[in-house]
Amino acid sequence: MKSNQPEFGLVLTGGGAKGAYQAGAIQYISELGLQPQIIAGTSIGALNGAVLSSYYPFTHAVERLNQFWEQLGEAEILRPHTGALLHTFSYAAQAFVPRLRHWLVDFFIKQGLKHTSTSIFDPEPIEYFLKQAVHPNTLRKNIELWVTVFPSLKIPGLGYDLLIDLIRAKTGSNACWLCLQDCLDDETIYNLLLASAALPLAFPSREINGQNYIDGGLVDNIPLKALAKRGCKNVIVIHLQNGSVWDRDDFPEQTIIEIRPQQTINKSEVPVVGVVESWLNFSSKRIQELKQRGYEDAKCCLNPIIDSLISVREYRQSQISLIDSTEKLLMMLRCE
Amino acid sequence: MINTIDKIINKDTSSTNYLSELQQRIPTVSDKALINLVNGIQVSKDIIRYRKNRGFFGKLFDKLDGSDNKRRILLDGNIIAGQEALHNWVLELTDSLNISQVALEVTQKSLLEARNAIRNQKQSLQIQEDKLNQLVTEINFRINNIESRLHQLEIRVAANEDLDRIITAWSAGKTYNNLPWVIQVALLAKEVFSSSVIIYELETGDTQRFRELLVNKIIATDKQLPNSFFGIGDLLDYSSTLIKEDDKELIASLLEIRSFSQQQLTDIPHLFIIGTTLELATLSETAKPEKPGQIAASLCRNQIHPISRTSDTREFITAVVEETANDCLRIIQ
Repeated sequence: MKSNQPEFGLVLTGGGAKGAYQAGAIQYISELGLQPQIIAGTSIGALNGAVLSSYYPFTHAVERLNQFWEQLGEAEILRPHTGALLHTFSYAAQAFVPRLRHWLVDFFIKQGLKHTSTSIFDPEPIEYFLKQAVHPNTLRKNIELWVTVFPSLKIPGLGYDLLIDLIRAKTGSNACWLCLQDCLDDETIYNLLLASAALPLAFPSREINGQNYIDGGLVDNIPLKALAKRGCKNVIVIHLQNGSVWDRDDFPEQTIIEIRPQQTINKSEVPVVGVVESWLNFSSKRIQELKQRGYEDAKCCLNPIIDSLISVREYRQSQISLIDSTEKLLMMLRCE
Repeated sequence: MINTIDKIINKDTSSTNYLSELQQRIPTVSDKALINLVNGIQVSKDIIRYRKNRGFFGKLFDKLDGSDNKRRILLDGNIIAGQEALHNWVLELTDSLNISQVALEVTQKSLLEARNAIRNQKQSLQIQEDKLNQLVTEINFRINNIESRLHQLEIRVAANEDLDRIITAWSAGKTYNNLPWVIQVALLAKEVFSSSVIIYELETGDTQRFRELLVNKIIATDKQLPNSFFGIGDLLDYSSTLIKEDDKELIASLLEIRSFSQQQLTDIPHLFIIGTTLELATLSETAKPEKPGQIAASLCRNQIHPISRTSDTREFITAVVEETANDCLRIIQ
């Protein structure tokens, strides 16, 4: 349900399996008694936001989000059969070398590692879990949710669609922010969520109203602009990446708190490989670890801020009290 | 600072909320700036940690895609934003501190004034307390005086009432009837000075008022009294003959002459004569002298006091009353 003037919002960035970190951080935010009126999410952040918007009250929604991640860990829906290295290699090869891509995809299909020629992973399990966890009817009445998607340019007969999308993303094509509460049918809601999480090659793009959409993280992994346009003034951004290059000063009207991972969140520091492996590792142990780190990092981030604000307010209050009592004293002196 | 305080305290100051207005003029650091300051530190730490942990290829990659430069700019921006926030915060604190100091100065001045006022009040209270104590002493004195006067008045009223009752009963013939006037006077005086009258004399020291009153009342009431001089011995001899034999002994014991010491007897010569006359008159017929009054008078003149041989009514009554009163006073003392 869209609120007239959302005061407090959450921005949930994309990062694949690292989204469990956000579940832990949101757990602590909920324990502080904070409740967002609006959420903007990209990729896994959009899925997390959808689960949060599907339940009421917020504390219950947070519980369900944690359960959702436990179920993902137990189901091992995305655990690769041939190891992270194979996926990483395949991903890179398909992205940049079209001939090799065709050869690799054909090879995976023949070997039974891959069922379709459009993506590495079968989207069915994640669709199933999404439909179990997200309830469009409740979602429409609950926290306002915006998801980031990127309109993919599909040229028939041209096998360079991913490369074209990457070039478009780097050359200034904008992502779209779509509000799920504006979607009239349930299927569109599910499609939008899956489109937002449609990591190129890993999952297939989604067609909505004749337009193909893929993961919005290609262009805008931190969709705070969506909240800024809605007039939301106070925002917590939960990053899923170390050393994220993002400047809060781009949003001078907003008061922003960034929760950033305090330890290395990727499994490996090897460029590309480490990132991809962290995106795809949905193991129960890893999810549990990320949730715990998210909770601890949120605590370490928010507590000093809260303490500082309390301290400053107490100081100002004591100053006002001092002035007030002094003025009363002066008033008494003048009355004598 | 002092001038500021004087200005604030001065009644000419147009606003009564001068300090509040000053405080409101101080630019406060916004919550956003504070959050940026604290959260900016955490963001900077994250970026520094990231840059430190990057390997060779990572660093190369960051340099190639320009993200390393962006991070450096982000760090610089955070530092500048933090410095600005701190600078504004220091300004706010300094201004607030100035106002606090003014407030404290005002409070101190007020405390000093309050202390002086309390001291003056204490002195004033001490003076009032002294005056009050003086007043209490005076009032106590007056109350004691009034109580004393009231007590004397009560005694006097009681004495008057007793005297009136005794004299009224006597003049109505209810007491000492059929006795000679000499005996009546002696017994009447004894009764009067055994009542509240003697308490009056003891408390007030006034030994004149009731004695004279009694003498005058006796003289005014009793019509049997002789108008001329008489011999005391003859009067007693005559009187003893008028008393019944049974009454003589009773009257003699009432007058108690024998219980007095020689020294005491010198103070009551007339009572001694009356008592001795009655004792002699109660002797057996063989032993009883013919004129016990003359004998008693002679014994008195020889051994106790040289009383005159003759007297008149007033003198005799006065003597009997005085002696009885003095004797009763001596006993009660």
